[in-house]
Amino acid sequence: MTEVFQQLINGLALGAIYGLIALGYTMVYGVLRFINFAHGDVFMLGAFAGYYFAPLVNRFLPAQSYFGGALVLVLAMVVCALIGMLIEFLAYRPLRNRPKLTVLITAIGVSLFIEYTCQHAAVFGAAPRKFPDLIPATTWHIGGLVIASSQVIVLVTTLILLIALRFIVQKTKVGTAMRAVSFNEQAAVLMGVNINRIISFTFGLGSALAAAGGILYAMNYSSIEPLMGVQTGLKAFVAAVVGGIGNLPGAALGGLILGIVETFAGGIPGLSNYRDGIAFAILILILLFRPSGLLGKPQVEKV
Amino acid sequence: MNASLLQLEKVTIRFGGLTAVCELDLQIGAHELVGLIGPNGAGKTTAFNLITGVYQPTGGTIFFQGQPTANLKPHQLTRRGIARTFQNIRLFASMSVFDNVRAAVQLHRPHGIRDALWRGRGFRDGEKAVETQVMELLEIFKLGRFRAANARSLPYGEQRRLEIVRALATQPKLLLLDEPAAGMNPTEKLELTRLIRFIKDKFQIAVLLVEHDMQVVMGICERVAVLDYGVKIAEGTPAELRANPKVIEAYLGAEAR
Amino acid sequence: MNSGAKRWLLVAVAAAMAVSYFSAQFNRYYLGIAIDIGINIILAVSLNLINGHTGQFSLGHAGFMAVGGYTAAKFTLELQTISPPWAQPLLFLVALLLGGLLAAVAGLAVGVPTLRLRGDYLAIVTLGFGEIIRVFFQTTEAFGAATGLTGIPHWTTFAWAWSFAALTVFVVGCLVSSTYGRGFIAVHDDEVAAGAMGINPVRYKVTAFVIGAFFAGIAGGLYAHHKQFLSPGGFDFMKSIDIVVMVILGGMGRTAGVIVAAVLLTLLPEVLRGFADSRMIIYSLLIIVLMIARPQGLFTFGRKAAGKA
Ligand SMILES: Nc1ncnc2c1ncn2[C@@H]1O[C@H](COP(=O)(O)OP(=O)(O)OP(=O)(O)O)[C@@H](O)[C@H]1O
Ligand SMILES: [Mg+2]
Repeated sequence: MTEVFQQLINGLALGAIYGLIALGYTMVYGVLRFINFAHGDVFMLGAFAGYYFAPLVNRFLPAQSYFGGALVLVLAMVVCALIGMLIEFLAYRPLRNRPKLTVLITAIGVSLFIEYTCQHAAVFGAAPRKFPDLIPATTWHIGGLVIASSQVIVLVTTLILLIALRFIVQKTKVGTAMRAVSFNEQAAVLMGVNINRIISFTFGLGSALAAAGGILYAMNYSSIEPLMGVQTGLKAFVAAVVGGIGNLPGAALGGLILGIVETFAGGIPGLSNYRDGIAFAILILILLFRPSGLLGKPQVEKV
Repeated sequence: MNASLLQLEKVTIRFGGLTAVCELDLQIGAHELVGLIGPNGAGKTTAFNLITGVYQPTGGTIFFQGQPTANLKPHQLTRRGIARTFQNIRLFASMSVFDNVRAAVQLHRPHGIRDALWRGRGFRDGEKAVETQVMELLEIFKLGRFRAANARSLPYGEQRRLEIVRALATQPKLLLLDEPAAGMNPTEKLELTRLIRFIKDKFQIAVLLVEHDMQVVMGICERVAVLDYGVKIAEGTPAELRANPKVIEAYLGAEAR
Repeated sequence: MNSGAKRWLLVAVAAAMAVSYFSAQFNRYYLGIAIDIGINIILAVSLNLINGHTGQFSLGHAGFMAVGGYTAAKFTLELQTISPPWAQPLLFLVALLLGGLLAAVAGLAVGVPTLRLRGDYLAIVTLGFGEIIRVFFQTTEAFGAATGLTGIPHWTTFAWAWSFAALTVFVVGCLVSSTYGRGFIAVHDDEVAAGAMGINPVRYKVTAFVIGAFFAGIAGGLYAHHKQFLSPGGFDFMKSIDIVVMVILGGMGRTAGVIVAAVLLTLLPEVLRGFADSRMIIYSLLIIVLMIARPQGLFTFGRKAAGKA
């Protein structure tokens, strides 16, 4: 029984990270209707930003402090928000209103570009690096359970970010505009919404969340490398689809489900080798039986 | 079943809270030319989509040649003899005029993958027959000279005509025309009116016509049904409808003249 | 393409055999590249049937290639020792066809459930299928698991690769240009209108997937007997992307353009060999720039010509 609870906690922590990344996919899909393939790489860049910011922050804040950790997180989120907006501006904006597949391929190109550039010896290099401890490393033993402080931090941070996101999307002007654009772009334009600004903002917001995901991931798995975003990004995308793409709570839910299922499957001997295939199996099942995802609304094509 | 070609019995469809078509009864005989009119959003196109199997009704039954059509896919209904045009022209954009019709002609051709790869005598003769058939159709509708042009590069009126040709190429028994006169000038409209009558006689088929232009509808239809908010509010000959106060009200007296 | 198409195929195959006959005189390195080109033409032209002509955006072609490659390789590895040397070409042919057939079955398995999906959803699901196939080979001991298969005989000659390339071009070209084949393009252009013309979109899509996968499987078998070694990593989704890029650069649905693109993109890495570090960076930049500047393909000028297959 403790075993089950232990896996549940591990799964929740992983799922929260998937959820954070999935939110970015879902938001971008909401306003632009395309899969931002490079999103997983922004997640990776977030982790690397944390790696480089940590020593800087430690110059004036004690290493491994919660406050220092939070500062690193915020800095990485800001940097990645800027990177996300830059990607949108340079690569996707010129392609607005082009066929979706053109944009999709461009996004794949951007993703490859980031990955190969980062693997270059002059940038990060291909070898994995050890991620510094941002917060005091403690483990609590409750009953038979082992809970790491980083796992608690993952859940708490995710919760805070989700609440902040909800506030931004529901209560602020720019959030309302975002919802308007994803509901009906043309109508939003007629209502005087500046589409470019909203799309840019959406990319910034999503990228910041991905960066947070990257740092939380790095804190838990302690090693980072330029290709870490490939599989994780794909799985987070799967999470977004499972929850119902375009639906924010759905993305979080999909992330949690995926994290938990994957962790449990990893614990079952015969299945553990297939761990990487499981996300896709779930994806295919969902799309077959509930194409609009768990929380998404079905769409009928008008003829 | 009785002799009617198409029969709708209490056909209803709901989209969420909106009842787009409500308990619609409609009959079309084998060589009839029937009009379906109504204000914008009345449910005319939706009725077409129900008849052609694009949507499944929420309630009621549709019979074609006495057979219920429930659960048949659009392509199966086309094979049984229902063809249509679209309100917002849907020609095959990357194909020539010739190939647009050829794509429709293939429905009743016997040659499949194997023949296409083996390329035997029968296949080659078949492809020649297709060409003759397509060109004949195009010539009837004076589109022959455009055969190599891209379908979407034609003038608007010609595109609408090509859609009709393409639908006829499937050898239908019932042809559904969704606002064929939209965007045409008066001369073109007149020509279209003649064309529709001609089609009906030459190919011996039934036609169901959705059209906003009252002159076109009242000029050629033998019988007209009026939809308003998904409900059939009247049905009768053009003369009867012109005198029907309900119809006049539905059109706010403006268009009905 | 008319009835001369069959003659064209025979001439092409004969030419491939003739060239192959003198292949001993060629530089080994260039010969290897020439075979790579042949294999990539098969991959690109077959994917073009799915992506270009039928408009079903698939990112799983490497998965079909893997099925064919592993099947064919396993088959020859098992039977090579017990079959007489004179039977070798026959054995190879059977191995390739078997690989193609199993890949076609995989194509059916992917095609049927994904029919309802469109555009980027379909792309991501086919990508997922490709990954599942890869994970399968990566974890199955019989296929060498993570290490892959080694010691595959070097049977792929210029003649084999280019004959099958010619066959692929013939099959896809003949299909698409026939009256029957207009259905593929119709489904690509407008599925609803296609349905209204009596064309069964489901059937055409599945057919495209099955035929496309079959040739991808053949290409996989040729690849296995060319490189003499298979590893699951070689069939990840990067490989699928490579093939997709060929199709897009060639101009979706244009066989000739796709062939030229396959040739160019096979040569590109060789040309960039001097920039080993930054080769892939250049490649990815190229994708982005081309998508922004020439999304219609490198060789498409003006409006897409009518009726062009
Ligand atoms: N797929 C759908 N989902 C939701 N609502 C729909 C759908 N298709 C049609 N409707 C609604 O059903 C109603 C009837 O639409 P329909 O297109 O049938 O009208 P129409 O009579 O053809 O009008 P028009 O003259 O403008 O073409 C409209 O309110 C429309 O918005
Ligand atoms: Mg309408």
